[in-house]
Amino acid sequence: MPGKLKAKIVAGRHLPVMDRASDLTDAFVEVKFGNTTFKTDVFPKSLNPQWNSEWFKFEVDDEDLQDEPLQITVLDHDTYSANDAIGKVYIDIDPLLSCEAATVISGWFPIYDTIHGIRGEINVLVKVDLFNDLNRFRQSSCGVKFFCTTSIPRCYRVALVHGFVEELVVNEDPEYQWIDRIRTPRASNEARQRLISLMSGELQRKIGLKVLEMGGNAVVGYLQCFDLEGESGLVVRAIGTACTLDKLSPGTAPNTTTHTNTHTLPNTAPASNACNSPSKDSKESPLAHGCRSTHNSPVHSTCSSQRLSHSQNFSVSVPTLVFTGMGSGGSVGKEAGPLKTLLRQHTQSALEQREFPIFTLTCFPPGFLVHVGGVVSTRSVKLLDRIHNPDEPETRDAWWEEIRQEIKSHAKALGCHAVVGYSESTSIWYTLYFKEVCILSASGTAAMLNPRFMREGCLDTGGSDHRFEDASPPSCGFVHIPYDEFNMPFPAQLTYCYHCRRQKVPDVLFTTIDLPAEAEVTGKGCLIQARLCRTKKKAQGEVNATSISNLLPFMEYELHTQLMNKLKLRSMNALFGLRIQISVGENMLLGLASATGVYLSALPAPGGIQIAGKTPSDLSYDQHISTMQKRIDDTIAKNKELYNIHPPECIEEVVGSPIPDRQRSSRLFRSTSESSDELSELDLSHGKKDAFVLEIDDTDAVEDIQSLLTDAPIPAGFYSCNTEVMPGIYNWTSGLQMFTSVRVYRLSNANLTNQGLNKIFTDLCENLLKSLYFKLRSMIPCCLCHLNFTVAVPEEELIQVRGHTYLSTPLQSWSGENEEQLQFSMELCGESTISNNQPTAKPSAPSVDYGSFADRCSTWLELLRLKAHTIRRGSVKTISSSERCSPLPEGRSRSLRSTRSLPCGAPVTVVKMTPLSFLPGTRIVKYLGIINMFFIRETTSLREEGGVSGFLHSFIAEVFAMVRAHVAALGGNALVSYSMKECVFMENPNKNQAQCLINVSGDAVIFIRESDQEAIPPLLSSRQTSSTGADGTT
Amino acid sequence: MVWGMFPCHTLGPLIPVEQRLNAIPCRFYAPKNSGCSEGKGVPDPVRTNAKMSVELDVFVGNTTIMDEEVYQFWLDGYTVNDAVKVRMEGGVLEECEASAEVLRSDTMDQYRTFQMCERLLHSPAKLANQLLFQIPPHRQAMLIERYYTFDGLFVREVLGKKLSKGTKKDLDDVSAKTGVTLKSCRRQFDNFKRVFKVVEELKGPLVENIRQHFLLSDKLARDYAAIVFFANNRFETGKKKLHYLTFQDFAFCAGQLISNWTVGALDNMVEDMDVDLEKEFLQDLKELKILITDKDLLDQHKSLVCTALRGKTKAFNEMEANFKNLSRGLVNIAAKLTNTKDVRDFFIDLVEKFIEPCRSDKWTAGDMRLYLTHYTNSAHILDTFKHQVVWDRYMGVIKSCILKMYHD
Repeated sequence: MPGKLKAKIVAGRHLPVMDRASDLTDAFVEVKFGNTTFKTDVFPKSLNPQWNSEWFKFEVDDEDLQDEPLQITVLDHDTYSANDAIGKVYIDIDPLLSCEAATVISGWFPIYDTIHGIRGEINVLVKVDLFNDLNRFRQSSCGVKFFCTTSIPRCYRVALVHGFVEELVVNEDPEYQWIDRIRTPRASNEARQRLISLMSGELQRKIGLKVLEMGGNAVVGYLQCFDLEGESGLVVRAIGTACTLDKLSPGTAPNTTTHTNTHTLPNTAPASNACNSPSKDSKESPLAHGCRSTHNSPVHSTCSSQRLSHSQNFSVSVPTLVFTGMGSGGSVGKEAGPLKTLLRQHTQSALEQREFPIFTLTCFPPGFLVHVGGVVSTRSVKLLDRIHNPDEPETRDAWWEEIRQEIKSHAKALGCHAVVGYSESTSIWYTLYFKEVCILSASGTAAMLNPRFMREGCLDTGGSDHRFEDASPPSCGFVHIPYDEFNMPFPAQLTYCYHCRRQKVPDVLFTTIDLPAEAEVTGKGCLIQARLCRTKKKAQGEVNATSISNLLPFMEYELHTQLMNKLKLRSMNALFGLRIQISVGENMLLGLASATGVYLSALPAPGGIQIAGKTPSDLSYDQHISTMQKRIDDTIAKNKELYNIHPPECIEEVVGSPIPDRQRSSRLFRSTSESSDELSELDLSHGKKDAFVLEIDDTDAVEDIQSLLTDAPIPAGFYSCNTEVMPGIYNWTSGLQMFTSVRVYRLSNANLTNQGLNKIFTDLCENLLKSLYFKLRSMIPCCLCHLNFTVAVPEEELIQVRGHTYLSTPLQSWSGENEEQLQFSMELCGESTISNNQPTAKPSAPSVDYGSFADRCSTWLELLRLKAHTIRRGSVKTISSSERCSPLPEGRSRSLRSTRSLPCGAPVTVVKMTPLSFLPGTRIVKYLGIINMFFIRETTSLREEGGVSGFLHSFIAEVFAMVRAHVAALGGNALVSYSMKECVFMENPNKNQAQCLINVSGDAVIFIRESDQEAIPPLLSSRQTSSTGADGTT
Repeated sequence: MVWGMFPCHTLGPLIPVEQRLNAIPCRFYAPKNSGCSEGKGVPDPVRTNAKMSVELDVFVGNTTIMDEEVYQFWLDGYTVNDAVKVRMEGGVLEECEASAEVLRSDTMDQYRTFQMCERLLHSPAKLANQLLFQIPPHRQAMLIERYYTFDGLFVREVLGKKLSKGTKKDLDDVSAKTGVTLKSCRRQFDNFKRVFKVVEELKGPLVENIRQHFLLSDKLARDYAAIVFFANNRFETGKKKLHYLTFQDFAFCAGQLISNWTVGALDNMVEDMDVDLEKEFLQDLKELKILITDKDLLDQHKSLVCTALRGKTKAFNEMEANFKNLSRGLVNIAAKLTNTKDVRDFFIDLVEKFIEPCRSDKWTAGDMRLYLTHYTNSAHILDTFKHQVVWDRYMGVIKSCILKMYHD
């Protein structure tokens, strides 16, 4: 009996009217955990009941504590008929199980009903008394910390990185069980919500066990996904990186890398599936799984031929698979310098014993990342079949294992021993009568890592560390090629590093990770998107799968080409945060690749783009080409200005390219297949050195180039990127806003050509971006960070685009934090300087001349042509220290008034949400635990709720509200690394029905403003005063 | 694969194709040829071009964002299309190179948000502790204040009317007459009714009650107090003779009446609310009749006033000539206020019996002030007149009301 869960129901408010006669409600509450249920008394005739119940105590196994959610149901008592349910609250008590996270859950939770949405709120208190169980063979893993954040959490120091952990549980989807035909939609939805909650709990527990086995104490970059495979079942899978984290005491600087060897736990062998304890709801009898023959489709052969002919014209980041058979990674380095070999061997030993040297991190502690090779990715098309035995999810496991193996081998081909920034995703297409087709994808960045973080106990650790650090100067080390230049896995153009002039670097670098903090960037970064839509014949089952696999390579190639073109057009030479998504629909495939382009100072300057006509005889055609060439050149020049890219002139020296001359000018092709056979015939003599040659041989190509140029320019004052940090901008106000936008488009004519579809798809994405810019126009200058799009083809002729972004403006902030940053940001924007590296938090300055500051502000603002209300806001408040010491009678009195105008009762805690792993301008002082929630909402009165948009709008707002409530109940004031992983929307307008499923996750944290000097924040009170204070100034 | 190169695709395990009936939950399976997916109540999809249309378009922020301009359009009862048109003419588009569809989508988003917020705005106190929308406090205040702001023209039409269903039915006429959209009329009317219902049952000072329950600014709370007061006492304001008066004139008078003639005026800890005039006071007013019934007193009063006014105003002759009439008018109004019917006609009586005669004699506002001051003060000197306290309480309000109402 290792745990006692205690819950107390305090009160309710804003309950719905359940009794029409009296316009009141007789509410009571059922509290359920596992199989135990308690009830409160009925609080008669009130919409704001005060139950003030006793403590309900559940004595349970810690295993159950991890798996089960606490289920609170609010009901309306009815003397004559059955009691009506008002709604439910599921509380994940996992955060209470770790001693370092939250200690109590207390607060107002929205009461949620899957049919009616939020119906009032309930105040609940939950505590856990845990008796530590040191049994070796325990099935629970309490105490392992989980973080969605893909970097080392801010208030921890990493002692060891153990490596990849993964787990997968499957179950039958309650929505598809026979019983669903007789039960109500509400019951069905609730069964599903509960099941997924249970499954995530179980998954987390199992992963925790693996982590403990490896000797770690935390999972970083925890990524949990649901695959709703329809009739085939429900798969919940998760990956993460096991680490040993040390908590930093508040005084310590976060970046101290003292080498403590306290955690000398031996690394155990690769994680096994030892802990497949049966999942709770499994009732399916185990049926032997049928044929397991792997079908090697014709794709393979076509693929490889394609691969060979194209590969030679690729730049560094796109190495070929010709080298797949190259054996172990060790052999790659045989010609390399002794140091490199040493490094390789050293890390090899640390990593070799792991099955998957894969890391889900995208941000690394300094010195962790040694070299970066390039992006590696794998896709595989599968036909889904019913999961016959949920206890043995072997098929799904095997699929993913296969993919991870492939990723690993790709990394080896790049001379790297590890994959970082790794993520997995699926795209499933449901058909009515046939099996679902599913694309499994995985991608990451091949890299060399510093073994210091992998394994300890090596005697020479210190010494070799020293040498490694010597080998790669911190700011440019990671761009140096990890592979051997004489034995390159793909043709590339190498130069000496522009920074240190000692090591070779490629001309272009693609990665899935965030820009390392030490990297030197010229100018600013920007969001680059490649969009592609391909038609596909309608087909079923196997045929469908084959045709999809046939299309995939072309899609990837085209996406790559587009990215490369757009990168060159912006005169940049590296992509970070690359995310490629391919979704499958009934008659089309959608591809979307987003990344943040930057100019890395250490890499060579990119050449221009040159257009080559195929038929030079025609005069008008020539002219056409030259005008186009001019437009491209103009755009490049304009972009250089826009992104402030002015690299110092350098003498170009191309070295060590083992591929003969024609590689010198890497060429860029239209990516349709027919161009491949013309490659060798092209005369490139007129191309200027290292310029990309864009070949026009038919009208399609012209359109391609047109579309290249028609990417709408980003409006002035906006910056966007899909990484956490905007490269080239270093001054931030504390983060402001997070937005989610969902759009579904209907294509009215299915018989479209690839070109037409492409155009439409590009327009969709551009429109969404334009909408964002428009809505946020009053906040400029601002930066859209972590701008991520998700595309899906939910139905024939429907395209769903979902974007969520985090807005960080250097200016406006309603909750009043960090006005002290105002001036720097404005300087930054007004003069567009990038060398603005002043520390943003001012040391306690004496009180400031209020008036002159305001004057300065308003001049800047005028300069920036800002809106009147921004001026008002921006000019009033000054440096925060001045707020403390200098009396501001006016502001004080006004803030008093504003508090008075608030109603009595505690105001709602402001909870910020951000997809970033941090809040700019603030310091995270405590991680309270992971938030991972799954909601279903259904309606049978779609029209009355404002149509599909109205329905989804309120649902998303409700989800946000519930997430905020949970964070606040844990004592937090922000959710970082937020992501909406799933948003499945289905409608049946004929029946006036719609259903939507949303899965969100993130880390609940407490943050304080960087300027606050206190080590322990008086959390709630400080929040309130800061917000009311700010209010007084506006 | 190494990205950019081509992967080896493998197909999953092959299973013989079997018929499956229910891959998509049957509740959500729409037959492919079901035709247009748009329901009747669903807003028309936005045609973006011939080949695609927007089915669904949603934009949600963690902190609810609202455009004040669009909020005003919504409050004013503009349809989405009208709002888009006005916004386009306003030149937002040039400002940031957006297209009409972007504008439309933004407007729709905002309208939806406001519609969802509307329920909360009905009980503004809820807005602060609800969890659904995270709205910064100053924005909440703005939302509430604007939601409860009303059109002067509109309120003038319903002022003093019973806030009943019948009146609500006639709102389309009011809408046609004032040019305020019907939607906006309904919102304003419902606001009046809601405030009325809430404060009706409350004790204590009216203005304070309104301010606390609806979190309104002082000014707006006072205006609402006036509306509630008028609706409760059913003052006649619609007669032609009263048309020249604005809502603000009435609001001022209402403020005077509330703070001087109601029960709460003397003792605001009193049990009763201050929407009703104090009965005892009205009863006492009857005593003032002596000023006109007693001939001596009337003459004495006249001579006192005339002495004081002589040489100070051009309209002296008219004042002297009309004194008895005017005095009779004012005192009669006072004496009759015990009748509910006469309370309703309070303003029309003031205009007919006092303001109109003065206006026809071309008194200036200064003349009026002078006259009323001396008229009030002179009564104190009358030694046989014993009702000084009631007189002051009465004349104080009458004087300020008339001064406010005395304009063109």
